[in-house]
Amino acid sequence: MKRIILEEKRRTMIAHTLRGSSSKMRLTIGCLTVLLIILFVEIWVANRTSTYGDKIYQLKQSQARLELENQVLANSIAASSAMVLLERKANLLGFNTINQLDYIKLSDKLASAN
Amino acid sequence: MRLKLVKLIYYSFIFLILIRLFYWQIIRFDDMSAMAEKQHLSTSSLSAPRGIIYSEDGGIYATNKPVYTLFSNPTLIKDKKTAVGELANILALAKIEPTDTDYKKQLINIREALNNKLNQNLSWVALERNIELETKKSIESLKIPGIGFDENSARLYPESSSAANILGFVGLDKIGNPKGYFGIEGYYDRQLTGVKGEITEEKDAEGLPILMGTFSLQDSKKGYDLTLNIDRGVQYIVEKKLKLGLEKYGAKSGSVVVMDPFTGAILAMATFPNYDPNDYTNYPKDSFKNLVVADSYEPGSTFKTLIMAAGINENVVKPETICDETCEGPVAIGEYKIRTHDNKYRKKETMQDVITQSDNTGMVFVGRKLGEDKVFDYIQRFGIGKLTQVDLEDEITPDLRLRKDWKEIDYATATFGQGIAVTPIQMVKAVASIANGGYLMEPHVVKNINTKNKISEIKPKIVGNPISKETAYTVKEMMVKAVDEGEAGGYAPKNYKIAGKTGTAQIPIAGHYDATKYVASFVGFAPADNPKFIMLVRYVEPTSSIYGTSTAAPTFFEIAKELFSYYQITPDR
Repeated sequence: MKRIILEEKRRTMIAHTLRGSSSKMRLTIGCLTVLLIILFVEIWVANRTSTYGDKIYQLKQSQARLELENQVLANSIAASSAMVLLERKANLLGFNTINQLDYIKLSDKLASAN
Repeated sequence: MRLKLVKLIYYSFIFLILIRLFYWQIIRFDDMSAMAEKQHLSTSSLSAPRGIIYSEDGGIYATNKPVYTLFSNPTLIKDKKTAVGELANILALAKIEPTDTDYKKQLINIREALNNKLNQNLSWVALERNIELETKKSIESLKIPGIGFDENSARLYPESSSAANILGFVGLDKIGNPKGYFGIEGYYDRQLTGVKGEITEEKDAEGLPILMGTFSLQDSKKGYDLTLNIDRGVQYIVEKKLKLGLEKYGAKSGSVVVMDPFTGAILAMATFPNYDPNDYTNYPKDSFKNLVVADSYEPGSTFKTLIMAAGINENVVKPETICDETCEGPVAIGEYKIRTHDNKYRKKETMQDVITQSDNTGMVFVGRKLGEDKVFDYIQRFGIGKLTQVDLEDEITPDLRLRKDWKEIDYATATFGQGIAVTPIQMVKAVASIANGGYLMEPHVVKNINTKNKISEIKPKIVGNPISKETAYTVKEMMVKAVDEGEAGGYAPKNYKIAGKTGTAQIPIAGHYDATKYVASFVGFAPADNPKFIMLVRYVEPTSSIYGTSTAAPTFFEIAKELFSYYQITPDR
């Protein structure tokens, strides 16, 4: 009877060990698969983007060109808004300095209608 | 045997290859990897634009513009003579108009310089610096081989000479880096200067970036933007009137400062002669000086307002106090005699009359009532002899002599603003305390500093309280009467209550006063009951008249009239 029990225990232990080693193997295979996928994705991305350098360079060039254009336009607006030029333009349009200002005070008798 | 020999040669060959590989990959690893990195890793500097300076009304006072350095590899230019001719024509046109008499001379000079540079046996030579974009485009259209451009940035001042002495300019320091000099550019140089960045990236054989390669970025930081309290409209009015006044009165130089008496905000500040910061190298160094903060003068009668305020604050005089025998004739102190400006003496003169008639002897009376200690104490309390801490690089202060060095005559003359030196900004700061109810405000040109994430406001700062509110009110009323009843009042707009005081002072030269050289000034604020601005106008050596009454005062009132209209201030009378 005792031998039977011991034999049963041994079998159970072996089954456990086998089950454990098979799950470890599955895990290892899974990890390797993931790593391989990542590796392939990286190779694929590197391959795909290897010709994008030119595009990036062109985008950078466009950005620099637009920034330069913006700066030049902003400077040109600032220069044409200078007070001296504005006064010159205003004079050409017939605007002059007001020499005499008349204010209507509250105490002034104003025309009213009922 | 032959087979063995072939094997031996074969293995020896493999062994030699292995030794060579060991040499390159192990022994010379560092050198090789460095060389490889140098070939495919590219590091470049990222420029950081200098901060922009805005006016209070949103206009631009200082910004940046792209400029280029024209360079060449002379060995690549085949026809140098043609290249020199074509380049010289474009470069000369960029510098000078063809109608100008100096055009041909300039053209020849440029040709010579280009010729010398292109005939050097170098692979890189700078032909011209700070070329504008338009000129660059013209040169590019020539399609000359061996010519290239490096992009840089330079400062642009769209308002040209307007506010030049407030702004300063950007030049180069000892090691060739841009640096702000004078005014705002100098004072806020650290804030305006950006921090350069750096980008390192891997590049392929064609010099194009490899996306999956090494990449590191240290971004550049733009300099902080500044917004000034200076309003372009007010500044323009002030400069225009000052320039007209300078011509009209034949003065050697002139300056005006307009300040908000309650906050210390500088609304306008003008100096003539001035300069164009876009082209500062073509102006004399003297023109860089901001006469409002970097020039001292004896304030003359404008100083009487401060000593009178001291007397009233100490309760030793009142506006109706009658002057004793001091005012009945010239006051003798030692070997000196103090006289009135017209050498006329009035009996039973009140303190109001002393201010209105600008009587020197009356001020000696106030000084004696105050006592020497109090006179000295109040001069210090009003901030005379100390920097105002205005945020402009070139501020100076004339030293106030030590108390022990003052003699009786010094106290007497100081009461009417002679024998004591101030800067216009010190004078405005002191008189502003009469306008605002007794507080000494720190003057400020910058309104706020705009960093990347927040706007830091420069808040008004009270730095003293030399007189009480009641004293300020009393002296203000005395100054209003001085305008209404004094000679300068003839120029004042009648429907506004303006407080002011004229000043005429001799210029001390080598220890004595030059009888032919004067400084004429006028300090005042308006509307007197709720001042929007305090202003000081100063002419140095006016020739049409030496008096502030007929030179500085008319300019003050002309500017004031325009400011009433500009600020939409309705008449208060």
